Amino acid sequence: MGWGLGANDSANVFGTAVSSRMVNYRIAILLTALFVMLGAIIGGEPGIVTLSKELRKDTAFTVKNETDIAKADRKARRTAVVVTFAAAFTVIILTVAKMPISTSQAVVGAIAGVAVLQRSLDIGSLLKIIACWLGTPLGAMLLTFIFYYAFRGLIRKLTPSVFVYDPIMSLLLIICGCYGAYALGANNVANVSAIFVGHNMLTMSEAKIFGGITIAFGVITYAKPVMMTVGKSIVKLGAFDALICVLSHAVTVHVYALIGVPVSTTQAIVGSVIGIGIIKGGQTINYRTLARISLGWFATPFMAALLSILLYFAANLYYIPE
Amino acid sequence: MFIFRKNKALLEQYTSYLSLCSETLVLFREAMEHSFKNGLDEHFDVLAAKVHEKESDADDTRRLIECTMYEQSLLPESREDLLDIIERIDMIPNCVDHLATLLTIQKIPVLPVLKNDTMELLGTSLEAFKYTREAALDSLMKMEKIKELQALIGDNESIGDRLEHKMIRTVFAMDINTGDKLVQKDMINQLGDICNLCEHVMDRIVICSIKRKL
Repeated sequence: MGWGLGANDSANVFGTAVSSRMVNYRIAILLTALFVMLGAIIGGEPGIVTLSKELRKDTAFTVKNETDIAKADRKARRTAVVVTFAAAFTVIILTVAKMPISTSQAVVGAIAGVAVLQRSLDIGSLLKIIACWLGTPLGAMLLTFIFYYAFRGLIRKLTPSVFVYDPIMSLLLIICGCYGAYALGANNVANVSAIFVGHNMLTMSEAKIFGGITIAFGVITYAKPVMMTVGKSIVKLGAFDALICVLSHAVTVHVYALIGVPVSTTQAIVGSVIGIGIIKGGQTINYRTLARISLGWFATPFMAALLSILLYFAANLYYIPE
Repeated sequence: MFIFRKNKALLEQYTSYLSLCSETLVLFREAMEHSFKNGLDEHFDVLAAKVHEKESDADDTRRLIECTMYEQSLLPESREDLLDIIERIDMIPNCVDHLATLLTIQKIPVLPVLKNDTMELLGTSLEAFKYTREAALDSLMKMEKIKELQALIGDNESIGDRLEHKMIRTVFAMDINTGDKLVQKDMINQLGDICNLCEHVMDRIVICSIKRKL
């Protein structure tokens, strides 16, 4: 899960700078890996607390009702495996189907699915998370409007030469990329390791380091293809628009990391790009693609929940001799 | 600051390239002036060789700029625009170099009757290039004079066109054989091309500056 996250989502933060050769790919992945680790370790705790809360409640329930503690522990581990597997499988299936995916939605969907079976779903927390999911693209879009007009006003006032504007823009893209990587680590580490904290398999510090390392590993080993693809499609917007997108996406994801709700960095970047599309005139938006993206966002949690329900059900089937 | 240092070198190369192009045109005018006074003699060949030398220097600087651009921190869209502008500007020294070489090889001078109009056309072309050079620099700087320069280049191009047509009419009204008429017409067209090329460069500069305005 961490590997997939690192390989996929790092493209949102440094794709622009790498594909336009403003920053060397090796430097970009090293910076991304470093800042993802820092984000996970420094700012990852609130998200891990949110995602592990529901499962902790589940564990407490199980332990209270089971006399055999070892049995309860086995059941908790089984839950952790089912949730991780269901989320990972959902991500793989939707990736193969070329649907835009959100790892956060897959993880939350899988946790919610098992929690429904265990009758321990915290509806309040789930609603808070869903509200944040809706808020991610909308928030990124709103921030895009704010940053776009603010920075444009400043640049128009200063009208710097190409020889000053371009290096500053490159530098800002690198800084925002690092900030985006930090926000990615802080926000998404919970998707990777919260489940293990919920079942007391890892301590909070171990979970942050473990999650950070796995995401960083994905960045280092497999980020290039996605980074080049996403980067090139963003670069078409122009460097200024790309900078606004990366910045809005990073701020949005970081805000949710502070609140403690894991959200999708892809949703944030898509929200930002749509924001730019609206600024440039609504006709530039491909509504068919938008509908496809929305369908993917809708399908991910439901599919993960369904899968986790089926897997959890299958994992708890016992042969009882007559 | 270190991030601006490399681009400063690029700006210097770009300025030097524009100067070399300008020098090529000035040398060509000198050569033409000489041809009207003394015909296509050995000294004309020397001047034509100097035109070619300057054009080659401009080409070398252009290649250097292209390499520097990809090593420095210019954004892709700026690299693309700068490259396009330079390639279009490059057609101007190429055009005069070609004409100078043609005169050296063919040894057919521009008819003396066309002297005043030719020198006026060259003066107009030089002025048009002066504005183009200014606009090429301004488009990468503050973009304050683009509209004004576009209008000036437009005016020069119109004057150039009128002179070109007048010269062709003069040639075809003369009692010379058709072959000579066609050779003269070809040379006049090439002389008139300088103003047209300046206008084409300016059109591209305007698009680039519109793109730069957020």
